[in-house]
Amino acid sequence: MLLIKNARLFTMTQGILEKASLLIEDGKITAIGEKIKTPKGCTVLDAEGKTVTPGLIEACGRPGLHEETVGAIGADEDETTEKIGAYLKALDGILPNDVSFQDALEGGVTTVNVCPGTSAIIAGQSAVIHTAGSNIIDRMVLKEPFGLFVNLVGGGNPRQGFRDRSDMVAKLVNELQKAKDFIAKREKALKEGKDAPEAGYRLAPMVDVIEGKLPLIMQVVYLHDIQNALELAEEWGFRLILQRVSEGYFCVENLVKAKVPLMVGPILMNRRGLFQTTSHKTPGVLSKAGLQFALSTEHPNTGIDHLVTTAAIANREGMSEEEALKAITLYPAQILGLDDQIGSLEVGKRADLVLWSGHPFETLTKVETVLIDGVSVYERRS
Amino acid sequence: MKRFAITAETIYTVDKAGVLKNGIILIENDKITAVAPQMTLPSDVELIDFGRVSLMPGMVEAHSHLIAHDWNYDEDAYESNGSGGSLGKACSPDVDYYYHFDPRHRHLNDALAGGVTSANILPGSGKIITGTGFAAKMYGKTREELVIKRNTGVKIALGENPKRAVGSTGAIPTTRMGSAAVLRDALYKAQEYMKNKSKAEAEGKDFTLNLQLEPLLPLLRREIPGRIHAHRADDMITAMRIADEFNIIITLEHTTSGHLVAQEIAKRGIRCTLGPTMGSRSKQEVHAKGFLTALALEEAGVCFSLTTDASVLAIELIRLAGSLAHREGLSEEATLRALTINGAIVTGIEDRVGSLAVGKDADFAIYDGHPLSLRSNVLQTWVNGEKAWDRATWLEPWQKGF
Repeated sequence: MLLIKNARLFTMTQGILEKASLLIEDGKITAIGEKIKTPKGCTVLDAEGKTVTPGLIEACGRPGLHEETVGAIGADEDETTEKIGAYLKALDGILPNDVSFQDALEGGVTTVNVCPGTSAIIAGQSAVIHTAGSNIIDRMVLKEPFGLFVNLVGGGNPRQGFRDRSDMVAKLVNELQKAKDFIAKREKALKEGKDAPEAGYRLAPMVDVIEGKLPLIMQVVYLHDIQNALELAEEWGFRLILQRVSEGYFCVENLVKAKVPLMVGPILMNRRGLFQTTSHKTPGVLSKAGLQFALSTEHPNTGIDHLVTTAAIANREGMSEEEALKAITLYPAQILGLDDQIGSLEVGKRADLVLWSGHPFETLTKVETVLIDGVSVYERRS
Repeated sequence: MKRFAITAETIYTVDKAGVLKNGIILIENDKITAVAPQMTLPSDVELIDFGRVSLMPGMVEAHSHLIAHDWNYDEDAYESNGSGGSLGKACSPDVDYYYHFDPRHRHLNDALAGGVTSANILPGSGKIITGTGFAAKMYGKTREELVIKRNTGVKIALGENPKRAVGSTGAIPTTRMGSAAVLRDALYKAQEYMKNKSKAEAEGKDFTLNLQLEPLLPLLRREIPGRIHAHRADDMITAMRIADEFNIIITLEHTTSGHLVAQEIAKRGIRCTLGPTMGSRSKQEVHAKGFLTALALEEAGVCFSLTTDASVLAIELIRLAGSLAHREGLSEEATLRALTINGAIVTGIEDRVGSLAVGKDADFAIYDGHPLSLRSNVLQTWVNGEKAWDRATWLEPWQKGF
């Protein structure tokens, strides 16, 4: 049992509570309020002057999958030999003690959706995991698979090995059609009282996509990539999540109308290749149009420890403070379908939280303590 | 002659005058002619009062590859390192990066939008010797007007990049031994060449110029530095060893492991750039990077400037690098130096830019808060006494339409 008292709580769902307390029991938040009696035998943490937020959630990144510093021997995000890799699983390539997870904790990130890389049209299945807790990756999992990562960017790395943008779309559509054909075959068999055929591990994820069980997380950069993705989703009826959305500023109306979840970013980037049209103002433009979305570093494009920096700069460049904070907590939780567990400070949620020395967007503020399921996984060395 | 004065609530001069509250800076044409806490201005001198803002020198990015990136989406001329010649595949000192310079490029506007007014623009690190760089302002009408200094140094790279880029073609170097040897070989040849040339000139004999070796002569004469890409401490020490052997001046570029050898760098008075520090550890040689390195270099007394390696990071992120170094404990004063005057010193243009002092170019930016705050915006950027960028009227490329 742990009682955090006198803290400023950024709850994300109930506004900001000043001088409030938060009780943690068995890894869950069990009480929040101004007057909570200290239960017997409970550890008390006086957080006078400190801020508590939910643990931050990185909607799309590759910590542990793209190992830091070692280059090719630890680069496990791109199975470059396989352009149609629906059966590949990020979970199989994540190194749980990669240094990037330490970075994540230093930046207050407790959950990440680890997505395969950008070298294939269908790159593989993502896994939502905690950023600490075990040397066994399976024990860090919150949801796996969460989505199927697809690259629809008609340039740069994703385009390698394809004739052009249309070629990429054709390959994707071909897989969707195969899944659709399989479903028809299965229905026919069942109708005729025969045994249902097996989709097999290669096609099964695509069948899940057509049946709406597995969303496609589509990486899109340019205007026509975004529009292609939206039109394909409408035509084929799959659940779509747009990732990166760099040129979203060109088609705000499309995005508002389509109501698809967005993982926006990285924005703190280079000005090369695919990132040349990236703008720090994109989150502000989308937010002002009423869109609610996740901000992302797409680690390692921006370091995962700079998720909060990303939100601070998005705030400076036009996104409200409240929306910028929700974009790294509540909204990614909703997109990942985990808002019943994480993303806000509410009774019944997992006690994944961050104790900050001040407001998360202030220059000198540091992460002091990070809890995952109520257990301290990071303490800042002073 | 254009003569006017400026004032602002807080002026960070990054010079002897320190931080002035509502101080006055007098500008005549493009130069600063007076900096004072108070000043009685002649009646004909207009005073521009920027009001409740911070004003600081235009930042100087001392290590960049600006402009080499084409606006066309997939074009990336960054590793534009020349094709080699008589010195082998790993050396192209005859490549002058100046010829990449497109004065209309968006990077210039990005820089101004971020409060950066000058940059040292260098070739890449895919070879042992990749060419020579130049320093430029980020605002001006013609290319000639933009350039502050041609040939700010010979770009040299140690560490893993040339091993990978050249070694993978089957040519030397594939090892750090090979990298050092290639550098020595080029410098020996240049030394011999210099001797032969002087001898021929003295004797009035004909002499055939070697255009690959010519650019190395100012390096051997200590007129320009060798700018040596070195992330790892062992690469920095190799750079120092070779610099001693040939009695050349060097700067150390990137120095992300600089905390391990800070005393050694300080002892030799070597100037450094530090960064890029944000972003992930994309390769082994950057394994130790972190903003604590800035503290170690500062403590040892090293003159270093923060760098984005633009456009490895967008150039306007240099101020963010300052904010994050400040968060880790680098003092406000040291951080501002690392963003301004130190960049000018490292580049060798400190007589022109980097601080608000008499005789310097009137290059500055104003901010609606503390310049190191994550929440403050650049409001205006001035270059050569002219307003070069204004937040109120600026449009990003995409805001102008398709």
